[in-house]
Amino acid sequence: MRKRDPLFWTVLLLCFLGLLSLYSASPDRSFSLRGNFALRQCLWMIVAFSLFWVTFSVDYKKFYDLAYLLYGMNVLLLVLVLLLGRATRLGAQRWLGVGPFAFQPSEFIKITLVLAAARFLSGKDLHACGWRTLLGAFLLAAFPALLILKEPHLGTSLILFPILLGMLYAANLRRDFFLWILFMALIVSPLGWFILKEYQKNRLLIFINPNLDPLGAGYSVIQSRISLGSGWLFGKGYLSGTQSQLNFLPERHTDFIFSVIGEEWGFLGTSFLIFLYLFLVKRGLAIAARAREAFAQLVVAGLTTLLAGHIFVNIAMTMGFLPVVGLPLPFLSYGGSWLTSCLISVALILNVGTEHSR
Amino acid sequence: MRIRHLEKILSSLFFLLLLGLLILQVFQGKSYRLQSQGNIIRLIPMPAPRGEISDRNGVLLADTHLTLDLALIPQETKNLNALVEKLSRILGVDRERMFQVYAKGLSAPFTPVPVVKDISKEMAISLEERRDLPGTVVMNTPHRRYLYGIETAHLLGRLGEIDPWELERLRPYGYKMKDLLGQGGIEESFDNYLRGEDGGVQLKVNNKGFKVETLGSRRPVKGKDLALTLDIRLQGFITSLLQGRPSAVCVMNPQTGEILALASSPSFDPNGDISPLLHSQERPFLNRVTQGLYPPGSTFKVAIAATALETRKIGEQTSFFCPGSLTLGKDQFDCWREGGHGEQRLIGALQHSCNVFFYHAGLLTGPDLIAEYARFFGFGEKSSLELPHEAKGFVPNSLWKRLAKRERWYDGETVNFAIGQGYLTVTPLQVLRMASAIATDGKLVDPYLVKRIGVLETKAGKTRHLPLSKKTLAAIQEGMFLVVNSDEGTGRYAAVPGLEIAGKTGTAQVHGKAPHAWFVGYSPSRDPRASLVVFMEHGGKGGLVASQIAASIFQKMKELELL
Repeated sequence: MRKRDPLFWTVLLLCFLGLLSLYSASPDRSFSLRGNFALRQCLWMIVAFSLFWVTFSVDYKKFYDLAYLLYGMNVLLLVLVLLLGRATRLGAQRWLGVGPFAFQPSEFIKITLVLAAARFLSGKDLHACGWRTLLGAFLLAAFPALLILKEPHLGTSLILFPILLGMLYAANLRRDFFLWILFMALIVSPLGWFILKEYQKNRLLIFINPNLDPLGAGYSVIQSRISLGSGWLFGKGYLSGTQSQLNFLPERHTDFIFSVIGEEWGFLGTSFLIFLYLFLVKRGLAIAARAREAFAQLVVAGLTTLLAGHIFVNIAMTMGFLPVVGLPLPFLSYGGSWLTSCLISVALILNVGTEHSR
Repeated sequence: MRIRHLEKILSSLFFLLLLGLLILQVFQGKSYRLQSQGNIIRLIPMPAPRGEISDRNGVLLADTHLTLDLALIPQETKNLNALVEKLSRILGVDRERMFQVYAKGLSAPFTPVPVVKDISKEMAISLEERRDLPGTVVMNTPHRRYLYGIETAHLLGRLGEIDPWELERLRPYGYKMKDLLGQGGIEESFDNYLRGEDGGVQLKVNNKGFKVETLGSRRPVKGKDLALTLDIRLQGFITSLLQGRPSAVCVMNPQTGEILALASSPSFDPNGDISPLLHSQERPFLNRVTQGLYPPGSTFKVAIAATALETRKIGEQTSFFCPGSLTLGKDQFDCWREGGHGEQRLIGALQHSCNVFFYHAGLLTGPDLIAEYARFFGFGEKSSLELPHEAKGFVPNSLWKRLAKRERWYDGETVNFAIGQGYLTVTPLQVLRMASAIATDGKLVDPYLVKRIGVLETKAGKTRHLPLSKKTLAAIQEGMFLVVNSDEGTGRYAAVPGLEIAGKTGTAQVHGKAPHAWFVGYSPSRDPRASLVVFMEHGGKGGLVASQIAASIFQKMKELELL
């Protein structure tokens, strides 16, 4: 018998809390797939847990062999999205349709990038490596990032770099290189302003001052802060959040699900959630630390950074501490592709973990 | 590998989040809780219907009627331009005008702005049934309506939007911005009773401002209905009699002080737009009965007679010779009749309104005693009638002359005072009170207009007993009876067959213009039930026009069985 890792139970609890919150955030709580997001997420969980099981069962060493292939296929899918993807109601083109289903290849590139980068970096001694290795790793992330930026999906595009950075850091990259990277980023970021679309610029300006346009671009942040803050210490009670139940909070089942929880469960609920996430990250990194091979360590470190990065950016965004970039919250935000890629990440981490304990 | 380091970095990020949440949810929680409540709670006021006003017989004088107004709800109109375009085509209203009205009336996104007032019922129904006009709503708007228009304009006043400075004063009593406030007349003095209490509904709304549920509501409480002592039939008759000539008429029950009619002319239409009249030379907004100040002329001889008799300066049998004038020093004071009245005693002097007799009586009495008694009769003070902004009038005396003009009082002024000229100014209402006090054997009543507030009967006004002896009163009453009921009486045109009428005429001289005409009288001469005053601004001799109008009114009162 395999000993179940506590990480698994944590993730299961998070998924359950996700369903609970989605039920509250649903505009329609009847037993219908149209408006009941909890029900829809349930269906996605069947798919996600199936893939979780598959990923968990396969020997993780297989992923070393398949890393570049999976990465390459995923990049190809990103190109396909741009060529024949489905547009969302806000104009972004992020989905690929397969029959009645639609999925976002950009959610999976996060994982395949981690795999590819781990394989790329695992063979090298980063303490002694030069610019060429760094550039190689950078290009691995930059290529899909550009494709995703084109969709456009700024948040996902940008999150690839911190993931890579986390892996580089874990892989003992020389510290002075980090200073150089920081320096480069500072030089490049003003140029980035010109790449941004008008609404993206607005979001950044609004981040600096949400009251610039309280009914337009600044609306979500203001309402999200009101939701969180008005939850106070103990919250307004499950299903009783006025901000979410009366539609003041936009995108409450995806980007702002945390605000729904904050309003209904208060600081008690949000801090509990933070501790759950913290446990998840610590547990993941503990697995990474105990892994024997460099590839395994890097994969787990990368995936943990991926999850932690999303958690941090999403929650900071709901509090108005970061601009609204549209990154979902792991296990809680509604979305099939996202849920699946989160569970696959956890499966890979557990896979390495069980291999170690085996 | 630096996994441990990575863990520290990521953990510190999480603690940063925790810190942020602590600040946002715990330290700032209260203020955000209030904000979230502000998000969802809206208060929609429901104005209270104003109380109705009716006359003594229950005939409605002022009520509230509803018009159907088309309004736009700002936050629910998607495409304002297209909507206004469509509405202007349906209703045939100019779209620029509609935009202007809309822009002016805009207050809160959920408050409907009326854009087209008073649409027909059929139009309202067809608009309500259309589904292609999002954001439009048909509202019932209450409007004050004065059913007798110009007849009751001065009595009732009208409604106007509250002034900022008035609001400052009235805010403690629950008045708000844009509240309607009575302006002039009963509407002003009884605003507190008439306005009622506004109600309101507290709604829970969603992000679009749509109602989700009603949190609470308070029904508006209708204002109190008022019943007046007025008889609108008589009031209407008098208004038509005056034909818009500058004049004032007031009819009162002298025993109780009930005002049966109170007409000031020219008048205005309180239902219409009054702005063109604001600077009219004829001063239509002046209530001449209570606010007009005029010399009383010979009607004041009644007061002089009472003063002189009561202070024993003359007796009933005291006689003076009237040669047609009186000379004081270099000045000559005429009697109105050129040849003079010859030998006159008090009763005859009243009957003929002989100036020379009263010159003598006045000189014997002196200005200070005349002033003292004039005050007994209510001159120089407000009457406590419920109409706002009543004028006090002015009663001079020698002390005032010395203080104000730094001059002594001259005999010539006493002579003028004695025939109701000079510094003395009075309102027609004061003259009416004086005559009524004589008619009721010395009872000076407080006139009043409001008979009932809601279901409560008001108390009749106070009564003051004047220090006049029976003998004095009887003499004056006889004189006033003869004014109307003798061939030589100056008020003989006021006589009506079948009625016992007593009265006194007056012709008040105005420098450079036709004199004011007065008639004040009562009927029946024993236990009178009605007294009246007729004042015609620059109306010529009181014995003619004013007396004739008085006769018509007495006649009408007889027909109406008020006499």
